[in-house]
Amino acid sequence: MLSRLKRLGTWFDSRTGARKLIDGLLHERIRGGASVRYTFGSALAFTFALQALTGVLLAFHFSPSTTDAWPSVYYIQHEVTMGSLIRGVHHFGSSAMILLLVLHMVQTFLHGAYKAPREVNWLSGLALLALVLGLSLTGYLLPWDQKGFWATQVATNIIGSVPGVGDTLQTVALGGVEYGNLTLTRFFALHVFVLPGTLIAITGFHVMLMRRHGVTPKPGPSDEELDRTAGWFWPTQALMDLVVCIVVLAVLVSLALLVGAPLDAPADPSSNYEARPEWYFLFLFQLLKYFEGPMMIVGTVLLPTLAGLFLVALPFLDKGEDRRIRARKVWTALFFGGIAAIGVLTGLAWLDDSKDEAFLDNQRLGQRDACEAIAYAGLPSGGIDARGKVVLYEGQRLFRQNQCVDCHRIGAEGGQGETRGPDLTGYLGRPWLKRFLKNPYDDAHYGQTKLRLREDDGSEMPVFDDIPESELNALVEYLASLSGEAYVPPIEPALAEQGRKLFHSPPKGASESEAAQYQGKCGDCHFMDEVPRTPNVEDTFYPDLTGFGSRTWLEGLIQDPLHWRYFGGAVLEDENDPEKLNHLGDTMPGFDLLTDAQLEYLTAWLVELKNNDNVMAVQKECLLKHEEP
Amino acid sequence: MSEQPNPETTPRRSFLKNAVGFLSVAMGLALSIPPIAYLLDPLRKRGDGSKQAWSALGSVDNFSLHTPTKIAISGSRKDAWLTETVTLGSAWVIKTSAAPTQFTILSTICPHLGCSIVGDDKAFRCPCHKSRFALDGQRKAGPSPRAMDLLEHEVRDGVLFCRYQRFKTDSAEKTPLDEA
Repeated sequence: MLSRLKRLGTWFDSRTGARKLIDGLLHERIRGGASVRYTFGSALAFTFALQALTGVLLAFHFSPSTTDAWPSVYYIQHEVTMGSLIRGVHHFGSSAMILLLVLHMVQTFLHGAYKAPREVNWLSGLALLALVLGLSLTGYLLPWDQKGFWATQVATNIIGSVPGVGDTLQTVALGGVEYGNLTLTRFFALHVFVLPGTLIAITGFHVMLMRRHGVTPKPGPSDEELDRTAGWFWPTQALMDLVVCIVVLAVLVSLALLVGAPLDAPADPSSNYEARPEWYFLFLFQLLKYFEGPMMIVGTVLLPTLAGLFLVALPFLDKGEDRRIRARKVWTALFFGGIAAIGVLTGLAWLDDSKDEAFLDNQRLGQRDACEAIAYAGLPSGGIDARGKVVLYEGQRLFRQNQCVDCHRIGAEGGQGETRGPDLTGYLGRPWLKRFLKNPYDDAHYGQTKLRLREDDGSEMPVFDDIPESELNALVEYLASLSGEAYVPPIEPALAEQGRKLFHSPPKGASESEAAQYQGKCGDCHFMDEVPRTPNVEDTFYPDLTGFGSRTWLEGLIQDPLHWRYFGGAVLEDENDPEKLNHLGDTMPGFDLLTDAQLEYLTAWLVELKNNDNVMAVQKECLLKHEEP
Repeated sequence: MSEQPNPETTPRRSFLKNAVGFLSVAMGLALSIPPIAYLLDPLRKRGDGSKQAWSALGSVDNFSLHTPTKIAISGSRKDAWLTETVTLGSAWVIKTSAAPTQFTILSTICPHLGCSIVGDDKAFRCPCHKSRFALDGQRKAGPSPRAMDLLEHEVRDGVLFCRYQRFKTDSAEKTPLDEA
């Protein structure tokens, strides 16, 4: 077996010359011996390979469109086997790249490895640094979440601030004047093909140059000393490199498993999300704060460009042959001064934010939104629609945005306003309906609304607190069945039918035996298609229950609650006693400016409220955890 | 160069080489398992037994006796991350009896290799590989391994409902893909 393998190896070698190639790669002489300080380059190459591997895997599930980007990333993160691990390694891998790049660059500087004959090594390294920063920037936007969307806005607006060509550059980068599908497809193509392709080519060139000139040994020891202590890449340096790579991998996997890659709520151009870039861009962000008006260009373009130019020019400015630090004090001071400045700016940015209450509040809301979006996307009754929206998340947001939440309480949220509408915790669920029938004028139902006026004038809805439990259950089942919505547990048709007969009075022309089955009078006041009557606006005081609780019924209610079909008759104002009216507050306004899609989300949310356990679980997980301290 | 000891014989070097070999293999394994599990994810999601919900095809009166009618069937489907109402496929609907109302509903997907079956008042045929079927879906000629696939249906309050399903092609057995 082994000899066959050997023969196969020999055959392959004779056709390709592979052995010589591998030997050439491995048998590199290292003057001054192998050292941990030479591992950064290999660690970088390894981390990049890891980014390429995880990136290709992510591309198997990612869809770069404004509709699908967030949902597909959600899918990777929460539904695909090992998806969160792979995305986590890719996310933290970008930070590892930056960190290792800085270490590699500092090590290169300390050994004076930018000096002749290695100027081109240094320059190609700078090009790689720029490419890695470009990869970070383009990758940040791809999930199309709040953080990526808003942070990248800032970066692309900076491009726009470049004098002269800024607008052109920005339009080309975004694929238009504003963010959209073309921005995503462009960033995706850059992030997945252009930048990594260029990076691989330049890395090959960079490594080739390194092999040509060899590792730059520590400055100081004489040539004889270096030759005497020389070692080999294989296997000593290889083992060191490998161990460092394993450490990098272990750290990334731990971060992916323990911390996890963040996914914010879906991007919303109408929100006021306070964006912060990734930590390695924070210094640039901080720099922007110090330059106002026409001086802005100094922070956005001038200083970063100067820093870049300094690095590019360094090998040509510092031409002395002595690589020891003491022979190049000015350049060392400038180089480390720059790094220290970056460190200080980063620290200041972090410090500013940690003291900024408004920012911390904003961040907490962002975390709450992210938590809710993800939780509702995963609910069996929730999900993501063809527009790429998390249906219940959108509904809840509209409920908040339109101030419904001021008057209507849901669990621990809302109902804090001056006026109070019914408590919608468990709205239209069986327990809610039952409590309502038992006492419609309870404070949690219509007790704080103008409907209460009816309590005194004899035309009010009666309180059903003395009818048998079984009849109450039947009525509840019937009312629930009117919506046509799925209930958990499902509607019992027999019980609903019993409720129907308790609700209605006998139909006209019914035989005596038929009529005997009908006992109710609810239907005398509440219109319903099943017992058609001609609506008469004058004497209609009670909501029409045709399709009660269905999405159509709720849409109508939201748009015009004072329509005669809803509460228009019931809250007829008492002209004799305006004081009392004022005391009981306003009536619900009609939300007639909502779009069809918005109504769809709002009603989907209202319909979900009956699954109170689900809603309360999300509230506990998201709202209460991110409440103000 | 000649001062270097022979690399093949130094015990320390062979230890280092073995260590590199061992660690490389270990890392290779660690790096390959998650990607394989990730890429095989669709296998885990296949055949969860969740059936397509009933789709309404319209009033039974819309169909005339013994005349095949091709109907597009829509339904809600979870397509990876999106749940949307889409056209699931289409079916040939034939009213076989008026009182009581009885129907034969045949999937338009050819059991051979999945082309769309065409038909007239007399017979069905697959335009790709020339399989031919009778109006009740029985195979008459050609490479199809089985008869056309009957779809589950029922009539409720005068409305015809159908449960759309896809079946494994090129197999003598009619195996639903959602239960495979």
